[in-house]
Amino acid sequence: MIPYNFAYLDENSKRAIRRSLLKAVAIPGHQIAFASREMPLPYGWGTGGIQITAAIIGKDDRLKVIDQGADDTTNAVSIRHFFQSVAGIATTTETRQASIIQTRHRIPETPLCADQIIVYQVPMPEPLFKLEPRRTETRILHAMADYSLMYLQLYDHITRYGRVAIGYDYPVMVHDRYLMSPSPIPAFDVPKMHMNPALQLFGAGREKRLYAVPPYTRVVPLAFEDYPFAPLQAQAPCAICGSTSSYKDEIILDDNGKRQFVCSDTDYCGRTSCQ
Amino acid sequence: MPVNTQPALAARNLYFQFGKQPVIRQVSLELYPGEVLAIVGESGSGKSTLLNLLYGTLPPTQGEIQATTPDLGLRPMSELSRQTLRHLQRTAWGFVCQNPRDALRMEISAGGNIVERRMIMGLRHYGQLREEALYWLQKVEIDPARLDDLPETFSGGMLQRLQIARTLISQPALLYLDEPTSGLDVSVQAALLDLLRKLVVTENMAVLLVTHDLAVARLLAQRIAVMRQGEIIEEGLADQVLDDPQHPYTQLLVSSVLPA
Repeated sequence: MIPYNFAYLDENSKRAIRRSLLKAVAIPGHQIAFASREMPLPYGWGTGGIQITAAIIGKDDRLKVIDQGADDTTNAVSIRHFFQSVAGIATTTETRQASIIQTRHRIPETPLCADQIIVYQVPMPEPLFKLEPRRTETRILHAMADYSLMYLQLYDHITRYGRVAIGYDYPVMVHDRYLMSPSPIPAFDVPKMHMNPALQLFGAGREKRLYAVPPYTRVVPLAFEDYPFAPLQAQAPCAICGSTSSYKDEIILDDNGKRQFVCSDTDYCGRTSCQ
Repeated sequence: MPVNTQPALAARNLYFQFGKQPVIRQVSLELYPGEVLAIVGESGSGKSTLLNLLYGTLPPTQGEIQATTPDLGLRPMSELSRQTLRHLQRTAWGFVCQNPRDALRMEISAGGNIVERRMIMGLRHYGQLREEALYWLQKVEIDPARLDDLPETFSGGMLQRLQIARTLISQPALLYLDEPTSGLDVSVQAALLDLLRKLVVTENMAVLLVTHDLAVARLLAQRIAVMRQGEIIEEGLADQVLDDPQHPYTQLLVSSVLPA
Protein backbone atom coordinates (compact mmCIF):
# COMPACT_ATOMS: atom_id res chain seq x y z
CA MET A 1 0.00 0.00 0.00
CA ILE A 2 1.28 3.49 -0.86
CA PRO A 3 1.88 5.32 2.39
CA TYR A 4 -0.48 8.27 2.74
CA ASN A 5 0.34 11.45 4.59
CA PHE A 6 -1.35 11.61 8.01
CA ALA A 7 -5.10 12.09 7.43
CA TYR A 8 -4.82 11.62 3.64
CA LEU A 9 -4.27 15.27 2.56
CA ASP A 10 -0.75 16.69 2.32
CA GLU A 11 0.30 19.17 4.99
CA ASN A 12 0.06 22.23 2.75
CA SER A 13 -3.50 21.41 1.70
CA LYS A 14 -4.50 20.91 5.31
CA ARG A 15 -2.89 24.20 6.25
CA ALA A 16 -4.76 26.02 3.46
CA ILE A 17 -8.06 24.61 4.73
CA ARG A 18 -7.21 25.57 8.32
CA ARG A 19 -6.46 29.09 7.16
CA SER A 20 -9.93 29.31 5.59
CA LEU A 21 -11.40 27.86 8.77
CA LEU A 22 -9.79 30.63 10.84
CA LYS A 23 -11.40 33.17 8.58
CA ALA A 24 -14.75 31.36 8.89
CA VAL A 25 -14.55 31.38 12.69
CA ALA A 26 -13.72 35.09 12.63
CA ILE A 27 -16.87 35.88 10.60
CA PRO A 28 -19.58 33.60 12.03
CA GLY A 29 -22.01 32.27 9.43
CA HIS A 30 -20.18 33.82 6.47
CA GLN A 31 -19.33 31.45 3.61
CA ILE A 32 -15.61 31.29 2.86
CA ALA A 33 -14.31 30.00 -0.45
CA PHE A 34 -11.68 27.29 -0.18
CA ALA A 35 -9.73 25.15 -2.64
CA SER A 36 -11.74 21.95 -2.24
CA ARG A 37 -9.58 18.91 -3.02
CA GLU A 38 -10.46 15.76 -4.91
CA MET A 39 -11.34 13.14 -2.33
CA PRO A 40 -11.61 9.37 -2.81
CA LEU A 41 -15.41 9.47 -2.70
CA PRO A 42 -18.06 11.22 -4.83
CA TYR A 43 -19.36 14.73 -4.24
CA GLY A 44 -22.45 14.60 -2.08
CA TRP A 45 -21.06 11.86 0.14
CA GLY A 46 -19.33 14.21 2.53
CA THR A 47 -16.22 15.48 0.75
CA GLY A 48 -16.49 18.87 2.46
CA GLY A 49 -16.84 17.38 5.92
CA ILE A 50 -13.99 14.91 5.36
CA GLN A 51 -11.63 17.66 4.25
CA ILE A 52 -12.37 19.73 7.35
CA THR A 53 -11.93 16.70 9.61
CA ALA A 54 -8.66 15.85 7.83
CA ALA A 55 -7.42 19.42 8.29
CA ILE A 56 -8.11 19.61 12.04
CA ILE A 57 -7.58 16.03 13.25
CA GLY A 58 -4.52 15.20 15.36
CA LYS A 59 -2.99 11.96 16.57
CA ASP A 60 -4.74 12.23 19.98
CA ASP A 61 -8.21 12.86 18.60
CA ARG A 62 -11.07 10.45 18.93
CA LEU A 63 -13.49 10.55 16.00
CA LYS A 64 -17.21 9.80 15.87
CA VAL A 65 -19.04 9.79 12.55
CA ILE A 66 -22.81 9.77 12.23
CA ASP A 67 -25.14 9.67 9.26
CA GLN A 68 -28.80 10.52 10.01
CA GLY A 69 -27.92 10.11 13.68
CA ALA A 70 -26.68 6.53 13.31
CA ASP A 71 -23.11 5.27 13.75
CA ASP A 72 -23.69 2.08 11.79
CA THR A 73 -24.93 3.36 8.42
CA THR A 74 -22.77 2.84 5.32
CA ASN A 75 -21.57 6.41 5.05
CA ALA A 76 -20.66 6.67 8.73
CA VAL A 77 -18.86 3.33 8.77
CA SER A 78 -16.89 4.14 5.58
CA ILE A 79 -15.75 7.56 6.72
CA ARG A 80 -14.79 6.26 10.17
CA HIS A 81 -12.85 3.45 8.55
CA PHE A 82 -11.23 5.89 6.14
CA PHE A 83 -9.74 7.95 8.98
CA GLN A 84 -8.75 4.83 10.87
CA SER A 85 -6.68 3.70 7.91
CA VAL A 86 -5.17 7.03 6.77
CA ALA A 87 -4.63 8.62 10.19
CA GLY A 88 -4.58 5.65 12.53
CA ILE A 89 -6.64 7.58 15.07
CA ALA A 90 -9.02 6.20 17.64
CA THR A 91 -12.72 6.17 16.91
CA THR A 92 -15.81 5.91 19.05
CA THR A 93 -19.57 5.81 18.77
CA GLU A 94 -20.08 7.51 22.13
CA THR A 95 -20.83 11.22 21.82
CA ARG A 96 -19.19 12.07 25.16
CA GLN A 97 -15.95 10.23 24.26
CA ALA A 98 -15.44 11.95 20.90
CA SER A 99 -13.27 15.03 20.40
CA ILE A 100 -14.40 15.44 16.78
CA ILE A 101 -17.85 14.47 15.52
CA GLN A 102 -18.45 14.46 11.79
CA THR A 103 -22.13 14.44 10.97
CA ARG A 104 -24.62 14.30 8.17
CA HIS A 105 -28.22 15.44 8.86
CA ARG A 106 -28.20 15.36 12.70
CA ILE A 107 -26.82 16.87 15.88
CA PRO A 108 -26.38 14.26 18.65
CA GLU A 109 -29.00 14.29 21.42
CA THR A 110 -26.28 14.28 24.08
CA PRO A 111 -25.28 17.92 24.67
CA LEU A 112 -21.87 18.81 23.26
CA CYS A 113 -19.03 20.16 25.42
CA ALA A 114 -16.49 22.96 25.05
CA ASP A 115 -13.66 20.56 24.13
CA GLN A 116 -15.55 19.07 21.19
CA ILE A 117 -15.75 20.06 17.53
CA ILE A 118 -18.68 19.10 15.34
CA VAL A 119 -18.14 18.98 11.56
CA TYR A 120 -21.22 19.15 9.33
CA GLN A 121 -21.39 17.81 5.79
CA VAL A 122 -23.15 20.43 3.67
CA PRO A 123 -24.59 19.83 0.20
CA MET A 124 -25.68 23.43 -0.48
CA PRO A 125 -24.11 26.17 1.64
CA GLU A 126 -26.14 29.04 0.15
CA PRO A 127 -29.42 29.41 2.09
CA LEU A 128 -30.92 31.65 -0.63
CA PHE A 129 -30.18 29.38 -3.58
CA LYS A 130 -33.76 28.27 -4.12
CA LEU A 131 -34.94 31.88 -4.23
CA GLU A 132 -32.05 33.51 -6.08
CA PRO A 133 -30.03 31.20 -8.33
CA ARG A 134 -27.31 33.77 -9.17
CA ARG A 135 -24.29 33.50 -6.86
CA THR A 136 -23.23 37.04 -7.75
CA GLU A 137 -26.62 38.29 -6.57
CA THR A 138 -26.74 36.30 -3.32
CA ARG A 139 -23.30 37.62 -2.41
CA ILE A 140 -24.68 41.16 -2.70
CA LEU A 141 -27.70 40.20 -0.59
CA HIS A 142 -25.41 38.79 2.13
CA ALA A 143 -23.15 41.83 1.98
CA MET A 144 -26.15 44.10 2.48
CA ALA A 145 -27.79 41.77 5.01
CA ASP A 146 -30.91 41.91 2.85
CA TYR A 147 -32.89 38.79 3.74
CA SER A 148 -36.39 40.02 2.88
CA LEU A 149 -36.43 37.34 0.18
CA MET A 150 -36.35 34.60 2.81
CA TYR A 151 -39.08 36.29 4.86
CA LEU A 152 -41.12 36.45 1.65
CA GLN A 153 -40.76 32.69 1.44
CA LEU A 154 -41.92 32.29 5.06
CA TYR A 155 -44.89 34.58 4.33
CA ASP A 156 -45.96 32.42 1.41
CA HIS A 157 -45.51 29.25 3.46
CA ILE A 158 -47.85 30.51 6.18
CA THR A 159 -50.31 31.71 3.55
CA ARG A 160 -50.30 28.39 1.72
CA TYR A 161 -49.79 25.81 4.47
CA GLY A 162 -50.75 27.68 7.64
CA ARG A 163 -47.24 27.29 9.05
CA VAL A 164 -43.62 27.54 7.96
CA ALA A 165 -43.37 24.14 6.27
CA ILE A 166 -39.59 23.83 6.30
CA GLY A 167 -38.75 20.48 7.90
CA TYR A 168 -34.97 20.48 7.40
CA ASP A 169 -32.27 22.99 6.42
CA TYR A 170 -34.21 25.67 8.30
CA PRO A 171 -32.70 29.15 7.64
CA VAL A 172 -30.99 30.69 10.68
CA MET A 173 -29.44 34.04 11.51
CA VAL A 174 -25.96 33.70 12.98
CA HIS A 175 -24.66 36.34 15.39
CA ASP A 176 -27.48 38.66 14.20
CA ARG A 177 -25.66 39.20 10.92
CA TYR A 178 -25.49 36.38 8.37
CA LEU A 179 -28.26 34.14 7.13
CA MET A 180 -26.91 30.59 7.20
CA SER A 181 -27.92 27.14 6.08
CA PRO A 182 -27.58 24.84 9.11
CA SER A 183 -27.01 21.96 6.63
CA PRO A 184 -29.92 19.54 6.12
CA ILE A 185 -30.42 18.83 9.82
CA PRO A 186 -34.07 18.67 10.92
CA ALA A 187 -35.59 21.92 12.16
CA PHE A 188 -35.90 20.03 15.47
CA ASP A 189 -32.09 20.21 15.88
CA VAL A 190 -31.70 23.91 15.11
CA PRO A 191 -32.13 25.12 18.74
CA LYS A 192 -29.13 22.94 19.72
CA MET A 193 -26.89 25.19 17.61
CA HIS A 194 -27.75 28.28 19.64
CA MET A 195 -25.10 29.14 22.27
CA ASN A 196 -23.53 25.72 21.84
CA PRO A 197 -20.23 25.37 23.77
CA ALA A 198 -18.69 23.28 20.96
CA LEU A 199 -17.07 24.70 17.83
CA GLN A 200 -19.29 24.02 14.79
CA LEU A 201 -17.67 23.76 11.35
CA PHE A 202 -19.44 23.31 8.01
CA GLY A 203 -17.90 22.02 4.79
CA ALA A 204 -19.35 21.88 1.28
CA GLY A 205 -16.88 20.08 -1.00
CA ARG A 206 -18.65 20.37 -4.32
CA GLU A 207 -19.56 24.02 -3.75
CA LYS A 208 -16.05 24.77 -2.41
CA ARG A 209 -17.34 26.70 0.60
CA LEU A 210 -16.88 26.36 4.33
CA TYR A 211 -18.28 28.30 7.26
CA ALA A 212 -18.38 28.15 11.04
CA VAL A 213 -20.32 28.92 14.19
CA PRO A 214 -17.88 29.64 17.03
CA PRO A 215 -18.73 28.43 20.57
CA TYR A 216 -21.45 30.37 22.39
CA THR A 217 -22.77 32.16 19.30
CA ARG A 218 -26.36 33.25 18.77
CA VAL A 219 -28.12 31.07 16.17
CA VAL A 220 -31.72 32.15 15.69
CA PRO A 221 -34.18 30.56 13.27
CA LEU A 222 -36.15 33.02 11.12
CA ALA A 223 -39.76 33.51 12.18
CA PHE A 224 -42.56 36.04 12.42
CA GLU A 225 -43.59 37.60 15.73
CA ASP A 226 -47.02 35.99 15.56
CA TYR A 227 -45.75 32.72 14.00
CA PRO A 228 -42.79 31.71 16.18
CA PHE A 229 -40.39 28.94 15.20
CA ALA A 230 -42.19 25.64 15.86
CA PRO A 231 -40.45 22.49 14.63
CA LEU A 232 -42.51 19.31 14.36
CA GLN A 233 -42.21 16.74 17.15
CA ALA A 234 -42.61 13.01 16.77
CA GLN A 235 -46.09 11.77 17.69
CA ALA A 236 -44.93 8.94 19.98
CA PRO A 237 -42.08 8.02 22.35
CA CYS A 238 -39.22 5.86 21.08
CA ALA A 239 -40.34 2.22 20.71
CA ILE A 240 -36.94 1.00 21.92
CA CYS A 241 -35.86 3.34 24.73
CA GLY A 242 -39.06 5.23 25.44
CA SER A 243 -37.47 8.67 25.08
CA THR A 244 -39.98 11.46 24.52
CA SER A 245 -37.45 14.24 23.97
CA SER A 246 -35.36 12.84 21.11
CA TYR A 247 -35.74 13.14 17.36
CA LYS A 248 -37.40 10.03 15.88
CA ASP A 249 -37.30 8.09 12.64
CA GLU A 250 -40.69 6.88 11.50
CA ILE A 251 -40.62 3.25 10.42
CA ILE A 252 -43.44 1.62 8.48
CA LEU A 253 -43.84 -1.95 9.74
CA ASP A 254 -46.34 -3.62 7.43
CA ASP A 255 -48.57 -3.10 4.41
CA ASN A 256 -51.40 -1.82 6.60
CA GLY A 257 -49.44 1.33 7.45
CA LYS A 258 -48.59 0.25 10.98
CA ARG A 259 -45.80 2.51 12.14
CA GLN A 260 -43.22 2.82 14.84
CA PHE A 261 -41.06 5.71 16.04
CA VAL A 262 -37.47 5.07 17.11
CA CYS A 263 -34.63 7.40 18.07
CA SER A 264 -32.53 8.49 15.09
CA ASP A 265 -29.50 8.92 17.39
CA THR A 266 -28.41 5.29 17.92
CA ASP A 267 -25.80 6.10 20.59
CA TYR A 268 -28.32 8.04 22.67
CA CYS A 269 -31.00 5.38 22.22
CA GLY A 270 -28.63 2.56 23.23
CA ARG A 271 -27.59 4.26 26.43
CA THR A 272 -31.05 5.43 27.40
CA SER A 273 -32.49 1.93 27.06
CA CYS A 274 -29.71 0.38 29.18
CA GLN A 275 -30.40 2.64 32.14
CA MET B 1 -44.37 76.42 -7.53
CA PRO B 2 -43.92 76.29 -3.74
CA VAL B 3 -41.37 78.87 -2.62
CA ASN B 4 -40.03 77.65 0.68
CA THR B 5 -40.02 73.90 0.11
CA GLN B 6 -36.96 71.90 -0.76
CA PRO B 7 -37.17 69.98 -4.01
CA ALA B 8 -37.46 66.19 -3.71
CA LEU B 9 -35.10 65.78 -6.64
CA ALA B 10 -32.66 68.14 -8.29
CA ALA B 11 -30.35 67.43 -11.20
CA ARG B 12 -27.79 69.83 -12.55
CA ASN B 13 -26.00 69.64 -15.88
CA LEU B 14 -26.28 65.91 -16.44
CA TYR B 15 -24.33 64.22 -19.17
CA PHE B 16 -24.29 60.54 -19.96
CA GLN B 17 -22.87 58.47 -22.76
CA PHE B 18 -22.85 54.81 -23.68
CA GLY B 19 -19.30 54.37 -24.93
CA LYS B 20 -18.84 57.20 -27.41
CA GLN B 21 -22.56 57.66 -27.97
CA PRO B 22 -23.89 60.66 -26.04
CA VAL B 23 -27.34 59.86 -24.65
CA ILE B 24 -28.04 62.66 -22.18
CA ARG B 25 -26.77 66.18 -22.78
CA GLN B 26 -26.90 69.06 -20.33
CA VAL B 27 -30.08 68.09 -18.55
CA SER B 28 -31.12 70.02 -15.44
CA LEU B 29 -34.39 69.68 -13.61
CA GLU B 30 -36.08 70.08 -10.26
CA LEU B 31 -39.02 68.19 -8.85
CA TYR B 32 -41.07 69.22 -5.80
CA PRO B 33 -43.21 67.18 -3.40
CA GLY B 34 -46.81 66.84 -4.56
CA GLU B 35 -45.85 67.53 -8.14
CA VAL B 36 -45.93 65.38 -11.27
CA LEU B 37 -43.35 66.15 -13.94
CA ALA B 38 -43.82 64.37 -17.24
CA ILE B 39 -40.93 63.73 -19.58
CA VAL B 40 -42.15 63.22 -23.12
CA GLY B 41 -40.32 62.64 -26.37
CA GLU B 42 -39.85 60.14 -29.15
CA SER B 43 -38.35 56.75 -28.51
CA GLY B 44 -34.57 56.89 -28.34
CA SER B 45 -34.58 60.45 -27.02
CA GLY B 46 -33.07 59.34 -23.70
CA LYS B 47 -36.17 59.37 -21.48
CA SER B 48 -35.63 56.00 -19.83
CA THR B 49 -31.88 56.54 -19.51
CA LEU B 50 -32.58 59.83 -17.74
CA LEU B 51 -34.94 58.02 -15.39
CA ASN B 52 -32.27 55.42 -14.62
CA LEU B 53 -29.73 58.17 -13.91
CA LEU B 54 -32.14 59.93 -11.57
CA TYR B 55 -33.02 56.68 -9.79
CA GLY B 56 -29.37 55.87 -9.21
CA THR B 57 -29.17 52.71 -11.32
CA LEU B 58 -26.76 54.42 -13.76
CA PRO B 59 -24.06 56.88 -12.71
CA PRO B 60 -23.95 60.07 -14.82
CA THR B 61 -20.77 60.76 -16.81
CA GLN B 62 -20.94 64.33 -15.58
CA GLY B 63 -23.22 66.46 -13.42
CA GLU B 64 -24.83 66.13 -10.02
CA ILE B 65 -28.07 64.61 -8.78
CA GLN B 66 -29.55 65.32 -5.37
CA ALA B 67 -32.43 63.23 -4.10
CA THR B 68 -34.53 63.29 -0.97
CA THR B 69 -33.77 60.88 1.89
CA PRO B 70 -36.02 60.35 4.92
CA ASP B 71 -33.35 61.15 7.52
CA LEU B 72 -30.97 63.62 5.94
CA GLY B 73 -33.11 65.55 3.45
CA LEU B 74 -31.68 66.29 0.03
CA ARG B 75 -28.43 64.37 -0.51
CA PRO B 76 -26.05 64.13 -3.45
CA MET B 77 -26.59 60.69 -4.94
CA SER B 78 -22.89 60.14 -5.66
CA GLU B 79 -22.15 60.36 -1.93
CA LEU B 80 -24.55 57.58 -0.95
CA SER B 81 -23.05 54.16 -0.24
CA ARG B 82 -24.28 51.27 -2.36
CA GLN B 83 -26.11 49.91 0.64
CA THR B 84 -27.87 53.19 1.44
CA LEU B 85 -28.76 53.72 -2.21
CA ARG B 86 -30.24 50.25 -2.48
CA HIS B 87 -32.22 50.72 0.72
CA LEU B 88 -33.58 54.07 -0.47
CA GLN B 89 -34.53 52.58 -3.83
CA ARG B 90 -36.47 49.86 -2.07
CA THR B 91 -38.18 51.99 0.59
CA ALA B 92 -38.10 55.79 0.28
CA TRP B 93 -38.25 55.84 -3.53
CA GLY B 94 -40.29 53.79 -5.95
CA PHE B 95 -39.95 52.72 -9.55
CA VAL B 96 -42.84 51.43 -11.64
CA CYS B 97 -41.57 49.95 -14.86
CA GLN B 98 -43.28 49.39 -18.15
CA ASN B 99 -43.36 45.62 -17.91
CA PRO B 100 -44.70 44.54 -14.49
CA ARG B 101 -43.21 41.07 -14.96
CA ASP B 102 -39.74 42.62 -14.62
CA ALA B 103 -40.56 43.99 -11.18
CA LEU B 104 -42.88 41.37 -9.68
CA ARG B 105 -41.85 38.04 -8.24
CA MET B 106 -43.97 35.74 -10.33
CA GLU B 107 -43.46 32.70 -8.07
CA ILE B 108 -44.64 34.54 -4.92
CA SER B 109 -48.33 35.20 -4.16
CA ALA B 110 -49.85 38.62 -4.90
CA GLY B 111 -50.01 39.39 -1.16
CA GLY B 112 -46.33 38.52 -0.70
CA ASN B 113 -45.42 40.75 -3.62
CA ILE B 114 -47.30 43.65 -2.09
CA VAL B 115 -45.71 43.42 1.38
CA GLU B 116 -42.08 42.83 0.33
CA ARG B 117 -41.14 46.46 0.98
CA ARG B 118 -42.68 46.36 4.45
CA MET B 119 -40.45 43.36 5.25
CA ILE B 120 -37.41 45.26 3.98
CA MET B 121 -38.48 48.04 6.37
CA GLY B 122 -38.39 45.46 9.18
CA LEU B 123 -42.03 44.51 9.77
CA ARG B 124 -42.04 40.93 11.12
CA HIS B 125 -45.69 40.42 12.04
CA TYR B 126 -47.57 38.13 9.67
CA GLY B 127 -51.04 39.28 10.70
CA GLN B 128 -50.20 42.92 10.14
CA LEU B 129 -48.44 42.21 6.86
CA ARG B 130 -51.53 40.44 5.66
CA GLU B 131 -53.81 43.28 6.71
CA GLU B 132 -51.68 45.77 4.82
CA ALA B 133 -51.55 43.54 1.76
CA LEU B 134 -55.33 43.34 1.73
CA TYR B 135 -55.67 47.09 2.20
CA TRP B 136 -53.43 47.87 -0.76
CA LEU B 137 -54.96 45.21 -2.95
CA GLN B 138 -58.31 46.89 -2.46
CA LYS B 139 -56.79 50.33 -2.93
CA VAL B 140 -55.67 49.35 -6.44
CA GLU B 141 -59.12 47.86 -7.02
CA ILE B 142 -58.24 44.19 -7.27
CA ASP B 143 -60.70 41.64 -5.89
CA PRO B 144 -59.57 40.78 -2.30
CA ALA B 145 -60.24 37.12 -3.08
CA ARG B 146 -57.16 37.17 -5.33
CA LEU B 147 -54.80 37.94 -2.40
CA ASP B 148 -53.16 34.52 -2.34
CA ASP B 149 -53.11 33.88 -6.09
CA LEU B 150 -49.91 33.84 -8.07
CA PRO B 151 -49.36 36.88 -10.31
CA GLU B 152 -49.20 34.49 -13.26
CA THR B 153 -52.98 34.15 -13.08
CA PHE B 154 -53.45 37.96 -13.34
CA SER B 155 -54.20 39.97 -16.47
CA GLY B 156 -51.77 42.60 -17.77
CA GLY B 157 -53.70 45.49 -16.23
CA MET B 158 -53.99 43.71 -12.89
CA LEU B 159 -50.25 43.00 -12.90
CA GLN B 160 -49.55 46.68 -13.44
CA ARG B 161 -51.89 47.60 -10.58
CA LEU B 162 -50.19 44.98 -8.42
CA GLN B 163 -46.83 46.57 -9.21
CA ILE B 164 -48.19 49.95 -8.21
CA ALA B 165 -49.56 48.59 -4.90
CA ARG B 166 -46.25 46.88 -4.20
CA THR B 167 -44.37 50.12 -4.83
CA LEU B 168 -46.69 52.51 -3.02
CA ILE B 169 -47.00 50.46 0.18
CA SER B 170 -43.78 52.02 1.50
CA GLN B 171 -45.27 55.47 0.75
CA PRO B 172 -42.27 56.61 -1.28
CA ALA B 173 -41.50 60.32 -1.26
CA LEU B 174 -40.18 60.03 -4.78
CA LEU B 175 -41.88 57.95 -7.46
CA TYR B 176 -40.61 57.15 -10.93
CA LEU B 177 -43.09 55.91 -13.52
CA ASP B 178 -41.63 54.54 -16.74
CA GLU B 179 -44.45 54.26 -19.27
CA PRO B 180 -46.84 52.86 -16.67
CA THR B 181 -49.83 52.56 -18.97
CA SER B 182 -48.42 51.64 -22.37
CA GLY B 183 -49.47 48.26 -23.61
CA LEU B 184 -52.75 48.36 -21.71
CA ASP B 185 -56.15 48.73 -23.29
CA VAL B 186 -57.84 52.11 -22.98
CA SER B 187 -60.37 51.29 -20.27
CA VAL B 188 -57.69 49.78 -18.02
CA GLN B 189 -55.46 52.73 -18.83
CA ALA B 190 -58.14 55.18 -17.76
CA ALA B 191 -58.79 53.33 -14.50
CA LEU B 192 -55.08 53.18 -13.75
CA LEU B 193 -54.54 56.88 -14.48
CA ASP B 194 -57.47 57.75 -12.30
CA LEU B 195 -56.00 55.66 -9.50
CA LEU B 196 -52.53 57.17 -9.87
CA ARG B 197 -53.93 60.70 -9.86
CA LYS B 198 -55.80 59.99 -6.63
CA LEU B 199 -52.77 58.42 -4.95
CA VAL B 200 -50.39 61.22 -5.93
CA VAL B 201 -52.66 63.73 -4.25
CA THR B 202 -53.34 61.70 -1.09
CA GLU B 203 -49.72 60.57 -0.56
CA ASN B 204 -48.10 63.92 -1.50
CA MET B 205 -45.43 62.26 -3.60
CA ALA B 206 -43.04 63.81 -6.07
CA VAL B 207 -43.58 61.93 -9.32
CA LEU B 208 -41.44 61.74 -12.41
CA LEU B 209 -43.45 60.28 -15.27
CA VAL B 210 -41.87 59.11 -18.49
CA THR B 211 -44.30 58.64 -21.33
CA HIS B 212 -44.64 59.03 -25.05
CA ASP B 213 -48.39 59.46 -24.67
CA LEU B 214 -49.24 63.17 -24.50
CA ALA B 215 -52.76 62.46 -23.27
CA VAL B 216 -51.35 60.65 -20.23
CA ALA B 217 -49.00 63.55 -19.62
CA ARG B 218 -51.82 66.08 -19.82
CA LEU B 219 -53.97 64.09 -17.43
CA LEU B 220 -51.39 63.47 -14.72
CA ALA B 221 -48.69 66.10 -14.94
CA GLN B 222 -48.56 69.73 -13.87
CA ARG B 223 -45.31 70.27 -15.74
CA ILE B 224 -43.95 68.75 -18.92
CA ALA B 225 -40.39 68.51 -20.19
CA VAL B 226 -39.88 67.63 -23.85
CA MET B 227 -36.78 65.63 -24.70
CA ARG B 228 -35.11 65.21 -28.02
CA GLN B 229 -31.73 63.65 -28.75
CA GLY B 230 -30.78 63.66 -25.08
CA GLU B 231 -31.65 67.27 -24.40
CA ILE B 232 -34.62 68.97 -22.77
CA ILE B 233 -35.69 71.31 -25.53
CA GLU B 234 -38.77 72.74 -23.90
CA GLU B 235 -40.14 72.80 -20.38
CA GLY B 236 -43.17 74.42 -18.83
CA LEU B 237 -46.64 74.02 -17.38
CA ALA B 238 -48.48 71.11 -18.96
CA ASP B 239 -51.24 73.15 -20.61
CA GLN B 240 -48.78 75.74 -21.80
CA VAL B 241 -46.51 73.21 -23.48
CA LEU B 242 -49.37 71.28 -25.04
CA ASP B 243 -51.51 74.25 -26.13
CA ASP B 244 -48.84 76.74 -27.10
CA PRO B 245 -45.69 74.79 -27.99
CA GLN B 246 -42.70 77.00 -28.83
CA HIS B 247 -40.09 74.60 -30.15
CA PRO B 248 -40.67 73.26 -33.68
CA TYR B 249 -40.21 69.69 -32.46
CA THR B 250 -42.80 70.14 -29.71
CA GLN B 251 -45.18 71.63 -32.28
CA LEU B 252 -44.66 68.56 -34.43
CA LEU B 253 -45.18 66.26 -31.45
CA VAL B 254 -48.40 67.97 -30.38
CA SER B 255 -49.81 68.12 -33.91
CA SER B 256 -49.04 64.43 -34.48
CA VAL B 257 -51.53 63.30 -31.85
CA LEU B 258 -54.40 61.53 -33.54
CA PRO B 259 -57.74 63.07 -32.67
CA ALA B 260 -59.82 60.69 -30.59
